[in-house]
Amino acid sequence: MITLNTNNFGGGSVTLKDYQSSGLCILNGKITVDPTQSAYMAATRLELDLPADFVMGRSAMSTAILVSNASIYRFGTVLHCWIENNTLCIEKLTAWDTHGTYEIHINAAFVTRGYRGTFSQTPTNSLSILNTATFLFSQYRYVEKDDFVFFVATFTKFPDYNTQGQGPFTLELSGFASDVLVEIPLIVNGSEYVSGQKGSMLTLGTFDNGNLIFSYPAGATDMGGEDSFFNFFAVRG
Amino acid sequence: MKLLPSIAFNDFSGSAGNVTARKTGDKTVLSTRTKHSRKKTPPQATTRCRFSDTIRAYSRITEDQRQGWVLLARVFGIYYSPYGYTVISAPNLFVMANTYRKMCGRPLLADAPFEMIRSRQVAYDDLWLDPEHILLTKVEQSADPDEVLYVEMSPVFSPGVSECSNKTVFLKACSSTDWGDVDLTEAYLKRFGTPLKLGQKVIIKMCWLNAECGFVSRCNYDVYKVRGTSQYHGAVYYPRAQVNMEQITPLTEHVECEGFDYELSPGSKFTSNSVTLRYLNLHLLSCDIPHNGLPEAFYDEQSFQYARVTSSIDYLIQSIWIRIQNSTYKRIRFGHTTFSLRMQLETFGTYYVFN
Repeated sequence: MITLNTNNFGGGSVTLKDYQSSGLCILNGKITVDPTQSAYMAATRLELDLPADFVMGRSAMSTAILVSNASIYRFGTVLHCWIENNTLCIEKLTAWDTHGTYEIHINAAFVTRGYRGTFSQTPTNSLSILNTATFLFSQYRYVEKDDFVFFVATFTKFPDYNTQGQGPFTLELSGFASDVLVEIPLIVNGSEYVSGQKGSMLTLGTFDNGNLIFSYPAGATDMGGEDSFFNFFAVRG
Repeated sequence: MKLLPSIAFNDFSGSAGNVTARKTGDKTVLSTRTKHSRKKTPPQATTRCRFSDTIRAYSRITEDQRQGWVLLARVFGIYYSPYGYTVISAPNLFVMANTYRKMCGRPLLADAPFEMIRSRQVAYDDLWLDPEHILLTKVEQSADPDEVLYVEMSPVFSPGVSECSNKTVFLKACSSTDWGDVDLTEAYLKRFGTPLKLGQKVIIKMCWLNAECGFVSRCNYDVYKVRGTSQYHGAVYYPRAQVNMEQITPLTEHVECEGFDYELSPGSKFTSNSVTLRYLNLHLLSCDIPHNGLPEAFYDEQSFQYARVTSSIDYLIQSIWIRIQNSTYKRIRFGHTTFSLRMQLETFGTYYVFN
């Protein structure tokens, strides 16, 4: 765990789960942003100071997910996120500021560039869905390392609010690391769009003990279903 | 300058036209005003203008500002340069400081700085010096945002020459490195007109120079022989596993690629990238753009990424895959899982790459 005590947007301390090596870092955690803070309004990008002994002073471009406080659907989007001068930098988007305090979820890898040499192939691991009546992969890739995992999946079968209600739902997996505990945003836009919509419909899910648990908010319409997806890195243990 | 025995010009001193005479002991020395040689290449003209502009600028500063330079010159005193110990005057210090500033792209400084900062040597891992590449690798990045990598070079045409410290000319001031790489190939060609030849010698002088108030003092100064392998590790040149706009054909029937920056990093295999696309046909699950040949590190790589729609429904998140094929097919394929509204989108981030 690392603690980021200072930032430029008037936020409190942030604790992130971390894996660090000189060429690769993984960060997991959530940052709460209050758009009414004067420091936030003055900032052109969000900056959080990393600990002085953080091994990577600069990274290539990575991602974070903005989860707004918009009613029911918590619309949000993917943000640019990178490390620069020992500072974690996040793109500032104001599209959902009027909905109040929002969250930024970081479940991403950070790498350096400039490598000249050979590459080995990425080894993948197999997963099986145990409750195939509710879930079916369209495609997925799962990488399990000693210290972290990477999991990207799109679905042809996924719970749909209109027909299956709020849940909670559990994606039961065989083969997924049981020591991963992480909260991730799920992109559950459905096939319809709300008038004037900005961003995607999001809900939060938690991987715990090898399974993914999530639910939908009350009052939603056409949330989830086919083509829902997620994409994340998570530190183990 | 010409030395004449004092016959016709006994006791003569003063100037007439471009000729000046002065008495030195029992001799009269005649000198002519310095003129630029007739050769005037664009870089020479630039250098001369830069120098004469800076000299003229000293006459335009206020007396208070001049006194500041006088004081700084007094404090600065005798300094060591690659050309030996030098005592510097206020005007010369003004010219020196501002000449370096100009080369580093900084505006002229009328007020004397608090101090002059000595340059320092550069640490780097390797150097490719061949007819197609002049490339430093793993150059340590400066922590000081005011420091630039200052490089002077000179080709040597005589094989016997191994030292000529005053022959190097300014080539480039780099404010940052490209992840440790400093590519001087283009700057060299622009400056000297012809590429390096195998077997030829080259002098390279470089240092980290403070662009605000630095001067060249400590520096790396080496004579290298141009050859087919790198200077320190003896490696044949190989490029980074990188794709950018120059390597692709960005406009096809179905899509226009407006930005493409893609690189592989080790650790099994990761990609960090940033790609901007504008679709010309709304209902496509996948489309291709051709590339012009990529480094051998690419064979058939695929990454699954987040994308962000920038038209229709702003900020809509989509799943996209990017497949780079560099074997039978020479193409980059973008694929989606849904037919949704996405005339324009951007995808970026760091992801695993799969073969």
